[in-house]
Amino acid sequence: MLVFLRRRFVYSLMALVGVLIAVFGLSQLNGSPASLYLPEGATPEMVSKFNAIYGFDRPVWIQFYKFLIHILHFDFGQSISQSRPAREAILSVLGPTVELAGMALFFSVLVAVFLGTVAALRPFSRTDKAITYWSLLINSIPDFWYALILVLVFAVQLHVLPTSGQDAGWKSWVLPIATLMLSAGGLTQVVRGAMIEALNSSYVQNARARGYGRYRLAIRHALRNAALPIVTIIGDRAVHMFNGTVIVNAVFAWVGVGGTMVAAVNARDFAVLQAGVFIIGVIIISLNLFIDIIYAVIDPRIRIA
Amino acid sequence: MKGNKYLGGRRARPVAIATSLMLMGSFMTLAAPSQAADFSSRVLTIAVSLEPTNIDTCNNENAAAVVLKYNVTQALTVLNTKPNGLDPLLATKWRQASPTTWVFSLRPGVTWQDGTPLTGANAKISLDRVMNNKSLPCTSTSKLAAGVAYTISATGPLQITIKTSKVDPLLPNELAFIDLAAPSTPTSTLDDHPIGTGPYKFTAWDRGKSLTIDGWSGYWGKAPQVQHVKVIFRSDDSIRANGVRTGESNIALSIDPSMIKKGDKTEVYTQGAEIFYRLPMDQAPFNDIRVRKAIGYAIDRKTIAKTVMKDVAIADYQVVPPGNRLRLPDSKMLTPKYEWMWKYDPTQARLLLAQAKADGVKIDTPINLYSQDAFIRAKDLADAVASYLDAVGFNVTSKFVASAAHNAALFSKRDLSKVDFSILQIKHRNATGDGASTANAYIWDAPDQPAGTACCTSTSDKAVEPLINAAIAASGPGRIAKFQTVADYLYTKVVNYLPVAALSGTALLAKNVSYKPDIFTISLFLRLETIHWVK
Repeated sequence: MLVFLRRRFVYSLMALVGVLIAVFGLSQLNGSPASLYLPEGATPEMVSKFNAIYGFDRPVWIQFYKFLIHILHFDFGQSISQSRPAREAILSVLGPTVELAGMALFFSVLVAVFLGTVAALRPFSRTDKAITYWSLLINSIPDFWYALILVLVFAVQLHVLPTSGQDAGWKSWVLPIATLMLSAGGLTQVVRGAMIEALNSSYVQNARARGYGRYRLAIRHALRNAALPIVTIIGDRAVHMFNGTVIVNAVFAWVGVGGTMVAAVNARDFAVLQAGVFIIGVIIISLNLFIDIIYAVIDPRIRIA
Repeated sequence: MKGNKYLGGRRARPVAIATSLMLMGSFMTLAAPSQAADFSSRVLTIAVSLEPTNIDTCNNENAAAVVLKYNVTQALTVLNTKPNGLDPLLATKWRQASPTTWVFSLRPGVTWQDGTPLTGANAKISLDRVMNNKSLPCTSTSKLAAGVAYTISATGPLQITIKTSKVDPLLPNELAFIDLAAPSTPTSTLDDHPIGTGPYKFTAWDRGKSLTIDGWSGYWGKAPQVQHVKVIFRSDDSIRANGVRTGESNIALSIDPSMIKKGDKTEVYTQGAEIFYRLPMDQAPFNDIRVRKAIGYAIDRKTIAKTVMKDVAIADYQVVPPGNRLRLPDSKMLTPKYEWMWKYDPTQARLLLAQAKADGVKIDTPINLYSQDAFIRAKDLADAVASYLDAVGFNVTSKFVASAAHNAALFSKRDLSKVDFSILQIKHRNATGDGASTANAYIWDAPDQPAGTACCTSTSDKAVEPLINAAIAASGPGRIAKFQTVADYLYTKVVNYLPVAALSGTALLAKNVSYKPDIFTISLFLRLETIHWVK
């Protein structure tokens, strides 16, 4: 297991170095990195001072070296649109984003595993068809439209939930999570397919011959074996949800990494973009590493391979 | 049957009713004062579309920071809604002691919210922080006269004198944009905790969520009825509007009229903003004035205002709003002399293009028309204008771009090597009543102008410069005449800006609030003292 972990960690580090090089490369594409970090109309004195601090007046390899030193200190420069360090601009909104995406993922997985299992236990029945239609429907709905409809129905018409904001306690979470849970549709189908395959395997058939009930077969025998493709998709959905919070940021006025990055693009705030790309890259690499570990825990054959 | 003499029976009934009514009336009178007292603890919530990037006193011209200006921080003077109107604020009076010297008398008994008194010396510190500071990226200084240096001195306990390096007859108007932050405010970095002299003090800015201010008991003037204000940031129009309908907010600014439903309480206001198209005079085919005039003839402004921009804008023909010194009177403007600026005549447009084509001008050169999300239906307007131009023979593609790309073109100062310098759809706001800021930004020939001028120009005609210089140096009625000379030259000889409309705005109000927005509401300051709870 340790060998497996070490190998995965090394691969993750290589991916991280790739992200660093890409992030550094972005700043060089325009020819003058200072023009990316400083506001329009920056004086020549401001440009010279900036170049001296960050080494942009030196050869490229020295610039990369200084860039790495700054990254080690988590210094991405000053946000020109927020007048504070770029890392603060991203880190201050990272927590709410992770919380929201995490909650949405948790409920999506719960719903998908439950409905996918129910559908797999009754393949091609009316229940299975209903669950399939539902999952295809919600997978097809545009999330922005869906969010606005939820607001119209639950906030404006029924007055049971707030239209936006984060000031109404647990009620503020309901519609944003419901919006992000649109991806539960696709996940449900994956669970269904994996469970059908697992339920048809010989070891499950043997267990059924020994008299085990349907639900015990599903939960104790089939689910663990169906978990590998499900975990893969969960990892993919997690990334999707993390990025999808930009819709929630826009419609429900939640603070988040997505909204901050969009604002940084509009404001030409390269320091925040760079910080965002790097931090999100680290999170996704870490998530993939975590998924690999889960794989190894679920399936011992992967550890040994 | 005779009436009963005791209280009971038919005679007693009217007495009982009258007594009950009297008791009810007394009860309601006793209850009323407590309802009025509720107003002071109520929180007024205002929903705006954009969060400010910073709220330093010297950068408070944006949708959320309009709540801070005048209400938290104040300037020496304040604009009013009359054409070129100006009122005293922290300065009670001023005089022009010489062409380059202004003396301001300060209001006595004023303190900043940290207790620092307003004195000549402290006012100098505050003004120098903005007007003589190269290390702060302040936007309010763009309203000062271009190329002028200011020497500020405290010439009395409640007096300051400002000497200008050039004649600046509008200095008191320009100072309306320079709020006085407390002298303790840092001078080398932007500050996110403005301390001012207004009726409200800054409480908190929860980034991404809200900005709150609360009434300040030490204010030198009359306390407003609304004592607590919270500004929330909601970028989507429908969310802002629905927030008012559900009671989460009391006022929503800049609502698309198509979101308004029957029964909504709304107020429409002029924004003091004009929409015009900037044409690149140095670039073929626009370097031929016939082509530029043809564009003017090709656009049906009235139909656009009735259709695409219905309830959002009215047709207009000049680069500044009514009341501005740079604006020609309609009686003069709506004449054949300027008809490409206002008349829809596609036949004339085609004729001009045919003449230009016969002289070798490539009128079918592919042209990009750039627009950004600067106002409601900006993209729809750009698409409509592009189709009008295509209809007379141009080859125009409408491109809706991010503001960074749009700004790169806007600020390129005619440097064709930097950007694709094509037609640019521009929203220009000038609520000052004077043409100087418009001339400074758009009418100078560039790029040889001093820093702070000609940021956004496409003009390449040096003959306009002495006209602008004369206008900016003039005062009184002569100033109006000279700015109108600039306008005449711009619309007849330069013809590189083609206005189409003047923007209006719609605010959605809760039923328990009374407010009349004005020309400054979303561009400069929102007077909270004019907002009242009605129930």
